This record gives sequence, C-alpha cells and structure tokens, in this order.
Amino acid sequence: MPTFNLTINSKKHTVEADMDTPLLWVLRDQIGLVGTKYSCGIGQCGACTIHVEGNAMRSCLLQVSQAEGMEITTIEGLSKEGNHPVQQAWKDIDVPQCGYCQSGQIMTAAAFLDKNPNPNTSEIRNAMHGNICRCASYNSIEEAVKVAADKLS
Amino acid sequence: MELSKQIAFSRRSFLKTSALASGGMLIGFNLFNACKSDVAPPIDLSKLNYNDFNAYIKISKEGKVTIFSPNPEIGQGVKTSMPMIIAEELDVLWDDVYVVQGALDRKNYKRQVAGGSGSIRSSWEPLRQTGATAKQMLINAAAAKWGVSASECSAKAGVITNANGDTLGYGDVVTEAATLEVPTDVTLKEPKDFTIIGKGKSNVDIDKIITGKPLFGLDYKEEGMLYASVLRPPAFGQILESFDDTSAKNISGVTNVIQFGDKIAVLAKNTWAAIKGKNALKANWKQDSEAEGSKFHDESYLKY
Ligand code: FES
Ligand code: FES
Repeated sequence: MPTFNLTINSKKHTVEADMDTPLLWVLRDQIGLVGTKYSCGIGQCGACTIHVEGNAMRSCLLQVSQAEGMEITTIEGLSKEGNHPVQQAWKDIDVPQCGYCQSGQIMTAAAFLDKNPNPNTSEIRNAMHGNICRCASYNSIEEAVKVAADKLS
Repeated sequence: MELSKQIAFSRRSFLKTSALASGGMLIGFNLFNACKSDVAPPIDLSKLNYNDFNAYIKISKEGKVTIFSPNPEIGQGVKTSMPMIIAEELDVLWDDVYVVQGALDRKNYKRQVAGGSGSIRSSWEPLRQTGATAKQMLINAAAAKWGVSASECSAKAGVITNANGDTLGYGDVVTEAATLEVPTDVTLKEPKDFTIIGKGKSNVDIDKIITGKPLFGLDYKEEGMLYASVLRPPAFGQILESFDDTSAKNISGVTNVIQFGDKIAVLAKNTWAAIKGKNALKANWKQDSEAEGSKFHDESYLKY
C-alpha cells in the first residue's frame, strides 16, 4: 500500500492507504479526526466539508493522493478552543439540533466569510445552500452566519 | 397512537433512591413511554439492586447532578429538554447538571426510539415528580440534621434554607437523603415560578458539536473492530434472489460478506474497503410484492 505525507491542522501525518481512498476516511478511520462527517459520500450534502488551502472542499471527493502537500484544516483545527468567530456565533444562536451536519456547515461558513466578510442575505444563502441539514436548522444557520460576520468585522 | 398520558402511577413503584458507595445519591425512575418497567438498567448499576428502573439521576457530594436518559436524541432536543424538566423541579442550577445518554439496550427496552412527538407529552409528569420528590428528600434530610420541621425549610438553586436562615447545599445532605423514605405527597411548582422550563437552554452538546468531538454512532471506535457497509433492496417490495461476491472479496481490506434477510453486509478493515466491497457486489433482486409508489404512500398516510 502506498504511503502519503499529509499536513492536517498544522501537524504532519504519514499514512498508508489505497490511492483512491477519499481523504474523509483517512481522517476518520486512520487519523481519528471524526469531526468530519460522512453522509452521502458523493459530494451532495456537505457534511464532510474541510478546508484545503483555505478553500471549503468535500473530503469525500478528494482522494488522499491529491491531498499531499496541501494545508488541510478540519473542524478540530479551525480554532484551539472552539473560539473561531463562526463557532462562537453557532453557539450564540444555538444552531445545532442533532449536530450531525454542523461541522460541515461551520467549515463552509468559515471559508466563505474569509473571502466575503460582509455578505448580504442572498450571498449567504448562495454560499450555504450546498450544505444539507436533515433537522432543517437553515434559519438559524443564516442568522449565525450574519452574527459571525459581525464578529469578524 | 396510544399516549401514556393517563397512566396512573404510585410514586413508590416508579421511583427509588439509594446511597452511592462514593457518597451521594442515586435515584432510579421510570419513563413509561420508552421502556418496560420491569427490566435491567441501561448501564451496569447492578450492585445497587436497581433492577427495575430505566432512567437515573445521580447527585454527588459536591451537589452536581448527572441525568441518564434512555431516549435517543435525534435533533428534537430531548437530551436537553427532559433534563431541564427534572432540573426545574429539583431546583438546581442548570450549570450543575450533566446529561448522559443511556446505552442502546434492545433486550430491555421495548421502545428506545423517538417519534410521534411523544417524549415530552408522556414523560412530563414523571420527570417533574422525580425532580420534586428528590428535592423533598433533600429538604427532609436537612430538616432532620437541623432538628426542625421540613415544612419550615425551602430549597432553591441547590441550597436548602431553614427559618433561622441557616443553609445547607444539596451535596451536604445527599448521603443522608438517600437513606430516607420516599415521600408520596410532593408539591409541583406553579408554572409562574419556573426558572428553567420555558427559558430556552442551549443544546447540552453544543461544545462537542462545534468542535467536532466524537458524539455519534459513526464516531465510535473499538480496538480491532471491523467496518461494515450494507447493500439493501433498491425498492420496497423487492427481495434478494441471488448475489455474487467474488469481486467484493477480492478488494484488499475486505474480510467477509454476510447475508442477513434481504440485505448483504460487506465487512472490512476500514470503511473505504467496506464501501468499495459493497459497490462491487452483484445482486439480483426480485419483485415480490407491490413496489413503493405515490399511490402506496397516499394510501398508507390516509390510514393515520
Ligand atoms: S459526505 Fe461528502 S458531500 Fe456528502
Ligand atoms: S443539525 Fe441535524 S442534520 Fe443538521
């Protein structure tokens, strides 16, 4: 089995995996970072969203071989103590219901606000619409993105 | 659906307390909607002879409260709202309450599920009774310690006060309280006096959720465990006629293929191998009864 050198949350990891293994499973099964969730596995739900060089990406579609040499950030590495403005906004608004989709939501929102710190409502909806929430916490998500934007500016 | 609203319960049979070896008090009680009442508890508390309860409250010597609940949290909020009801009547600070999910126990629970918006409706009263009963026992223990009548004492936010203004924390009397008779006539709070119910508390797991801590079934790990991926019939009404697992078994990491009912599970050393194995299965399905369609749905829903 080939070996890959990954940089995840600023830490170096060497893992053995089949070439075609999605980064999602390397994170969850091998490195033990289970905050990144699996739901559809085919790029349709956003539960597995991580940052690759600061961009939100779906880890179920990214093969481990493509992740080498990239700066990868997962929900566990977004901040030291859960104090990223997006995480804090999620807490202020009490967004999560079951919570399953929320690391993906938070990662998508954080990457989005990084590029657009002053979004209007339709930009927020546009940025978040690919992240599905079975509990339908969409209104709270939208509100929390606005609160996070305020915190960031 | 039959709601258990009208169930008449005697407090003696639905609630029991005992002292913990470490000091503190354990209160066992029954939530009728979820569970049989005559079965073992969800966690190993057998040493305490608590064989007939399915939900628990633990009050430690430090006055901290841990609530164990068997009802599954699926985003409807019961892991937060049910403990809020107990904490309200027990009259403790919400910050001193910890909530622990009871383990899945199919043998002993007849209905460890969520659905029909029934959890609060059917558990509302037993939860309040449980909290209020525990509070009364703590008051009784404090009154005995002071040598005064319990009716002269009151409790609020985890502190008991007597007519002279002396105070004792719940933790100070919890070990004595555990040995007292369970009172049968406690008074529930008036809704206007509620300080927790109706005040909107955050999801008890909020910090775990926003930082990606393990919380869900899929996050559970055991040394040496295998991973499974299951192939199911593509539509209702279909059954498994035959399948070929040759290519599935050739995938590195796949250890076994198991048929159960009309489903096939691929077992592997990691999730990706299990998923690839599942995708490599060749199954032949047979239409056995009517396939699910809009008509089927309309008719099914009309029944309710
Ligand atoms: S699991 Fe990756 S998008 Fe759904
Ligand atoms: S909070 Fe349950 S899926 Fe989004």
